[in-house]
Amino acid sequence: MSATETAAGVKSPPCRCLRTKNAYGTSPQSAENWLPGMHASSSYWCLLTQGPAGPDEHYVHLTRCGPGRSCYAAPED
Amino acid sequence: MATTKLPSSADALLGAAADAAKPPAGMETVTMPYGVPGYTLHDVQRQVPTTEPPVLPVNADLEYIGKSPKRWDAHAKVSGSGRYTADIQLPGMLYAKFVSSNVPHAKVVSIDTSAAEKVPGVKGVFVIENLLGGARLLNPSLEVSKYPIVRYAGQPIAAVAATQPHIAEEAALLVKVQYDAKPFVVDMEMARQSDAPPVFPGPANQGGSAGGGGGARNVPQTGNIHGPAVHKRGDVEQGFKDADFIVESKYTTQVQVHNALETHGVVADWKPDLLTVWASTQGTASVREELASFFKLPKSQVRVITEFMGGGFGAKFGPGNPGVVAAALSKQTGAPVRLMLDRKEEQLSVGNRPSSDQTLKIGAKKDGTLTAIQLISFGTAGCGTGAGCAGPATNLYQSASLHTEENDVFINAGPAAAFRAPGHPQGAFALEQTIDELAEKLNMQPLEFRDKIDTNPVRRVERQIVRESALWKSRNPVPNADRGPIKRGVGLSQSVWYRHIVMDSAAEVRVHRDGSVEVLSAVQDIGTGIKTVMAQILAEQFGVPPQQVSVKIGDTNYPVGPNSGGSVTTASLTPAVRDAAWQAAQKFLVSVAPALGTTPDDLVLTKGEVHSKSGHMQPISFRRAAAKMDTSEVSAQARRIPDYDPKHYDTYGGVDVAEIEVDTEMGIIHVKQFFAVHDCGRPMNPSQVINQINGGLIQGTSFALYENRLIDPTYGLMVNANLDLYKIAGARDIPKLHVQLVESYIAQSSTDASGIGEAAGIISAAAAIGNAFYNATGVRIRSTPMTPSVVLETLSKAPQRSNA
Repeated sequence: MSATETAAGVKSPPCRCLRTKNAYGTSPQSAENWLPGMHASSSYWCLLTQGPAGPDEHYVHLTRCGPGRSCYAAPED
Repeated sequence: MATTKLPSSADALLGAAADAAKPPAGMETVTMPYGVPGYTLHDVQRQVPTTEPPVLPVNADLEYIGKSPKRWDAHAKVSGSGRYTADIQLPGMLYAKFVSSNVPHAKVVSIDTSAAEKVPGVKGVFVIENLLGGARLLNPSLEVSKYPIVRYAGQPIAAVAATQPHIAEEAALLVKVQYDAKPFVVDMEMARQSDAPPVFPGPANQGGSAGGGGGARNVPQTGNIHGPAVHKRGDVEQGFKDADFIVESKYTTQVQVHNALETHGVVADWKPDLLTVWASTQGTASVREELASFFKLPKSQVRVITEFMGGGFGAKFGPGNPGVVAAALSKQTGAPVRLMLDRKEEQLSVGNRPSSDQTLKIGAKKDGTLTAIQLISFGTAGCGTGAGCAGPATNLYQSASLHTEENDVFINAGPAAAFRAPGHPQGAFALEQTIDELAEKLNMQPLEFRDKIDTNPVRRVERQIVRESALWKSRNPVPNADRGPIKRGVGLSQSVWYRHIVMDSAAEVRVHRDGSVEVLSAVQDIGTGIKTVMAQILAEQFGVPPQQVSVKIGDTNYPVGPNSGGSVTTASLTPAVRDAAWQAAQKFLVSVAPALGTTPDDLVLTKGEVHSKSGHMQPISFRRAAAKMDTSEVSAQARRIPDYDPKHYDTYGGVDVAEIEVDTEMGIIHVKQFFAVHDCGRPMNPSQVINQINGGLIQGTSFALYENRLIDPTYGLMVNANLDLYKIAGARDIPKLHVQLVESYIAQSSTDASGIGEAAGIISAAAAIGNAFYNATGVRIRSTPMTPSVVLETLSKAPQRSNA
C-alpha cells in the first residue's frame, strides 16, 4: 500500500460501537487498529444494532461515527 | 530441524562500522534467508529479540515445516466426527427461528407475538427493538419507532425459540408484523438518481466532516450516494497530458453472495456465571468481544467455542444478529438456544460482495511508463458500505499519478460484508484488462508490459515462470486467430494483497512427562488448515510426527488467537506458536538436565533427540528424555511480536493464466484450465496453500461466469435466494487447476509465513478469463457474470475483426 494512503486525516477516535473486519487486524506499519486506506472497501456495523444503521437510523461508517453524532460513545467512556 | 542460530557476520565483516549497528540490549543480529530460491535468494540481517528461536532455514532443509503432511483433522472431517456448530446438542436445547421482513423498506408499526407464544413447545419470543438510548434520529421528521426501520427484505425482526425446529418455524409464521411500507429502490442506477427513494433518512448533501477519525475526511453523502472517497497521488491531469496512449473503458461486476457451505449460526447457553457460545465464526475473539460489550459482561464470563467451521469468506466476524438474539433468548428462557440460518436467510441478510460500475482511464508513454491512472467507481453494498474497488489500481503498478474516487450507492438490499479480498476481484477485472488493452496499443506483450510497470520482485519471478510455461507458449499472440465458431484464448491477470498481522495472537505449548506435546490457542480453523500447520511447527521443534501432536484450538479458554480475515492467520499466529514451542523446549531441557547428569546449556534438542554438546552422553530420544523430567509438565506461552522489520511493508500475490474456449454461437465460455503461480512468504504446508488457491480459482471462475444476486424491482425481493437458481460453478464447470508455489522469504518473523486466502486466485480469475476472451475473440468483455447473453451481446456489438 502506498505511503500516501496513510495521509487520510485522523482527528478523533471513532465510536466504540463501530465495528468492521479491519478493526480486528493490524498492519505492521502502525499499531492502530483501523487500517488506513481500506475504508472504501470496508463494511461496517454497529455493535448495538448488529446492522449497518446506528441507533439513530443513519448508516455507520468510519467517516460518520465520530463526535457530534448523538449516539457516539467515546472509547474512554 | 536446524536449531543452530545462524551466526551474525556483521562484526567480522564491517569491523568498527559494525559497532554503530550494534543491536540494543535484549536484541541480537541474525542472518536470515531472503528472496526466492533459485532466483533471488540471499542473506539479510535482522535485529531480533534474544528470546527468539533460531532462524529457520529454507523449506528444503526442514523436516516438517514446508512439507505437506496429511491434514491433522482429516479423519474427523471425512468421518463426520468433527463437531460443527449445528452438531452441538445440549440438554434442553431450544431451536430458534428468525421472523424476517418480507418488504424491502418500511417502518414497523406493530408486532403481535401472541399467537406464536401460544403454540405448544414455544418457550420464548424475542423482538428486536430500537436501542435509541440517548441517540436522536438523524432525520427529525421521522417519528421515533419502537422498532428499527426495515431496509431490506429479509431483515431480522424477531425470533422464536421452541423445543423443536419445526415448531419454531410454524410459530415464526404466526408473528404478525404490521408495516408502514415506504418507497424503495433496489437498482443501483435508479438509486443514484436525485429523486430516488432515500435508503437512509440523512439530509441530502451532508458533508462528511462530522465523521469520526481514522479515515478519510470529507466523504460526502448526496442522496443515496456515500462518496466519493477520493485518493490522489501526483497530478493526474498532467499525467494524461504526458501520455502518448490513453485507454478509457467502463466495466461492471455483479453482486456475489458468500454462500459458505456452513451457514451463520450459534448455540448459546446463558448461565448465571458464564455465557457459552458455540459459533460458526472466523473470530472467536470477535464474538466474545462483541457479546461481552453488548450484554455488558466481563469477557471472562463469555466463552466462545468453534471446534470445526465450514467457511466464512469474510462474512463471519462478531456474533451478528444470530449471536445476539440466541444469547438473549437463552437468557430469557434459561435454556440453551440454537439459531442456525437457513440458505435463504444466509443469502439475504449476512453479507455479499458489492457490485461495481467502474470507469478506468490509464495513460502511458511510448516506452510503457504509466503516467496516470484514474478510477471512478460506483457500487452497491446494499444498505451497507464497502463497495470501493480501487485496491488493485492503487497498489499493483507504478504510475506517476493516481486519482481514485470510490462511491457507495445505497439500495434496499441486504448489507455487504467483507468477502475474500474485498474490492479486489472487481478492481482487477477492470485494471488487468485495461493493462492488456494498453499493452496492445503500445505493441507490447502482456508480460513484457507488466515487467515494465510492476516493480514487485516476486511477481517478476512469477512472470518469468509463466513466460516459460507450456500454456503461455501455446498462446497465439494474435487475437481471434481461430477460424470457426469455437475459439481458444489464453489470458493472464496479476493479483496483489497485503501483509496484515494481528498482534492478539498467542499460543501455549505444553510438554508432558510421557513425551506428548500439545499446543493451545483460541484461533479457529476456518477450513484452511491452521491446525495442521501448528502441529507441523511442534513436530519440527520436538521431532514428533504431526499426527502425534495434540492441537487444541477454537476455544476462548485458550490463549487469544487472531480472527481469520484478510489472510492474517498463518502470518500472525505461527510465530507465536514457534516461539512458545522453542521456549517450552528450553524449559524441557532445564527439567531433564539434572537426570541426564549435565547442565541445560550442554543440551540441545534436535530431530527428536536430545544431544550433549560436550559429548557427555549419547543422544537420547525426546520421549525417553521426557520420562526424566523433574515435573509432570512444562509449558510456555508466547504472543506475536512485531515483524522484525516493520518499516518494510510486503505485498504478495500471483500471476494466473486462463485457457478458455468461447462458443461464439451459443455464447458459452468453457474455462479449460488455469496455471497459477503464487507466493505467500514461506509456504508452511504447500498442499494446503495449493488447496486455497484451487478454491480461489474456482470461486473466481464462479464469480466470472455464473453467480449473480437477482432482485425483483417491483417487489424488492431476491428471486434466487437458494442454491438452485443462484448458480455456483459445479464439478463440470471447474477447470483443470495447475498451481506452482513460489517460496518467498521476507525475513519478518520466526516462521516467515504470510497469508494466501485473499490473493489465491479469487482476485485475478475473472480478469484472466476476460483477457483470454479477448485473445480468443478479439473483443473485450467488460461485464460479469459472463453469461451466454452477455457474451452474445458483447460479440454482437463488436466491430468485425478482419482475421475472423
